[in-house]
Amino acid sequence: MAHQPTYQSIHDAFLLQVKHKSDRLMNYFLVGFFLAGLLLAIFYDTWLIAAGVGSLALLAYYSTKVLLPGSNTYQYVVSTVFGIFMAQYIYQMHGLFEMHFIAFIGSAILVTYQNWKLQIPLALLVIVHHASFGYLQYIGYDKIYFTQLDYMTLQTFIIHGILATIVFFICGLWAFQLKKLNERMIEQTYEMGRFQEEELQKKALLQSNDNLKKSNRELDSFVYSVSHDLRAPLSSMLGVVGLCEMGTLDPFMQKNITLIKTSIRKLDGFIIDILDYSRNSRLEIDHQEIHFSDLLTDVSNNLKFMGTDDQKKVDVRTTVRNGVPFYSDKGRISIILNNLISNSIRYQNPQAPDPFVEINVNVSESAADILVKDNGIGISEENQVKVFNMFYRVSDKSIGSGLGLYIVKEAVEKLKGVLELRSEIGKGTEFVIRLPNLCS
Amino acid sequence: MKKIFTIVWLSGILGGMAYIFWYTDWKYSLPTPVPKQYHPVPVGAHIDLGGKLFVSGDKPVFIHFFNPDCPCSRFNIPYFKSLAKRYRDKISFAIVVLNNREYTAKEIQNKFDINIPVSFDSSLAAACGVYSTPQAVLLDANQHLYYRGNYNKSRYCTDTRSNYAQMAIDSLFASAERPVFTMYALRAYGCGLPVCTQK
Amino acid sequence: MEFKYKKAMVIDDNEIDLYIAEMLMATTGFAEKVVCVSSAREALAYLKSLNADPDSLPQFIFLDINMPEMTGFDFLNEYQHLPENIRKKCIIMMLTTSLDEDDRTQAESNQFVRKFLNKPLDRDKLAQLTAS
Repeated sequence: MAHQPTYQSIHDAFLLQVKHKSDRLMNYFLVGFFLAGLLLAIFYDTWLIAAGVGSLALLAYYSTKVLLPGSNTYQYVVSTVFGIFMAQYIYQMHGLFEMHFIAFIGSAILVTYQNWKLQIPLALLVIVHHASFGYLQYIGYDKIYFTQLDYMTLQTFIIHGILATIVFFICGLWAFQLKKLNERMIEQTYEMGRFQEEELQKKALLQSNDNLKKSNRELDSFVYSVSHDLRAPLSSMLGVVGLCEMGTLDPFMQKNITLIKTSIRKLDGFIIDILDYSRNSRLEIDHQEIHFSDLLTDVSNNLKFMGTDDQKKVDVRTTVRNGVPFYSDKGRISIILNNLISNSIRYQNPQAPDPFVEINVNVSESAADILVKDNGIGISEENQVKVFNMFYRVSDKSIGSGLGLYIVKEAVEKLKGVLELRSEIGKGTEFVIRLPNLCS
Repeated sequence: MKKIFTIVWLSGILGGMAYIFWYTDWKYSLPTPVPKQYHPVPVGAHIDLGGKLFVSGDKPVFIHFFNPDCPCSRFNIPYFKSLAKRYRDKISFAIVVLNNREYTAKEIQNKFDINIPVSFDSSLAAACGVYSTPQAVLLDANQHLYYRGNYNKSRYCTDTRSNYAQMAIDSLFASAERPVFTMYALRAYGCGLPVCTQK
Repeated sequence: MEFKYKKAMVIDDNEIDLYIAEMLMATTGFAEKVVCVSSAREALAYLKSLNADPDSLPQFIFLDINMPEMTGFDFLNEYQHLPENIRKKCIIMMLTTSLDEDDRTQAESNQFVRKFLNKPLDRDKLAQLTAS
């Protein structure tokens, strides 16, 4: 998100706001102080002090602002200026001690900058001024006119010092607390902003997820419709060709018809493979209880390839050991078993007197172990990796589409299972599959 | 670079302020210039009030020379007021206003918030040898000049050890030796007459 | 030639599939008479018309699923509203190219459907029917 503000930028923007607001306030206060000085001058005609010192103080502040606009030095200058105004008023009223309160007013005003360090120049000025004049009075230098009181005792000085320090400390503390509070608020605002961003992103993600799911469903539905419309004429063809077969005893005709049937079946098988592939990759995983015995019965009955007529009938043996309920995607498991068993039938060993395919299912709480073993022609070592590739057929004479084992592998992966192939050419092939129990 | 310049600049401003304070202080410390026609009236001289002040005869007289336009005089008001209240019974207090503008006695008395006779006769100043305000003049019961001088060493009455007028009163009643007053007491500072030239 | 059954009905919108079924049943001696209708509506009308003559009702009905206007399942919905003597007489087989699991489950759970068969119809499938 390019426009996403960083924490630092929000923080700096806020600080700038505080500074500007405080500066505006400061303009009013400083003018007020200057005018107060002029007001006080009425009492004892101290015009030179009021105009001179007052305007010099304002000059100091504004000139620092202009000279060093980037730094906050001018704030420290303002702190000192408050102390100077205090001294000015005391002098103008010829030692009116109450004017010392101006320092406390200044201290409170400084809180607006939310910087406790600004208290320091003011505090220093007050303490140094007290101390030095008190000392001068003490040693008898009597040309000091800053207080009407009898000279400042040490006790007085200490008490004043402590009380003044307490006031400055508290103002500094509030400035600090204010800053901390505001920083926390900035953080929270920033976090909230981020959180909202995240929520929006999540929503967008969920939305796009939903859209994907929808388009997947639509695509699958499309593939299904298309495949159905493709298969209908094929089945009609197969039916009519079957009639032809029944209507002739001519071996030439019968051979031709067999070839036609083979091609049709091949095409049909290919369409089914496409449909299986589409379903596997697009549909969401279903969670159903799987009854393997029933499933295997169905698969056997509906095997997509029943073998050519010159092949022997393959014996399908099934053993199912159920322990606990097993949940997974029925459709995909059907596809897996269908493809593996069809392959075993298709690729039976013509030399074997007793071709079989054995299916063992072992269900446990965590997974189902499926073993599909046959005594067919086997797969050579170099081909064992390649057979899982899309459209890979071992030889041109292979009858399959080349998609079968690819679909099996994809389906197993979709169900988060593992698949292992063991085969020896001429001996037979074994597929070992482990599928996790999806509702354990 | 800019920083150094700023520091120098601010120091300059500070210096300017210090100078202003010092200058003002210096001006404050200067004594009032003695007028050309000044006729000194020594201590102990008999002051002929000439009935210009409505005071009873046998008490000592304390005359306060006051100018409302003079800041030093204005500053002095509370102090004089406390003096007058304290010694009300023992001394007759009076105020002589030295100013070109017209004031009524009532106005002056309101300023001090005490009811004592007020005179606007500036010849009394010459009679007492007063040429600035505020000044204290203390006459004993026989109307001899006992003390004429400043109220305080520090212009603004902040040093109780140098409350000269107070000391004069005390010593008068104690009938002790008249204390020796230093130049701080006797050399008048404050505003000249009748218009303030020294601020 | 000996026929296993007197009459069978095939409901399918596809002409060729009707032809295949008719020929097959004739040559295998499955049914003496094969009634072919190309829509479920026609089928229902035919059945209703034979309400008075239950013996003329077909013993087997081969029903396609995917048909325009009224599908095979729509036919089954209407079928259950037919008078009882009709429903008693006919055995329904669903015949389809559909690979959809849901179709199979829906068909097999319907009380009137005996079996769910994949097209194309052939000699062996018919033989299985007569065996059961």
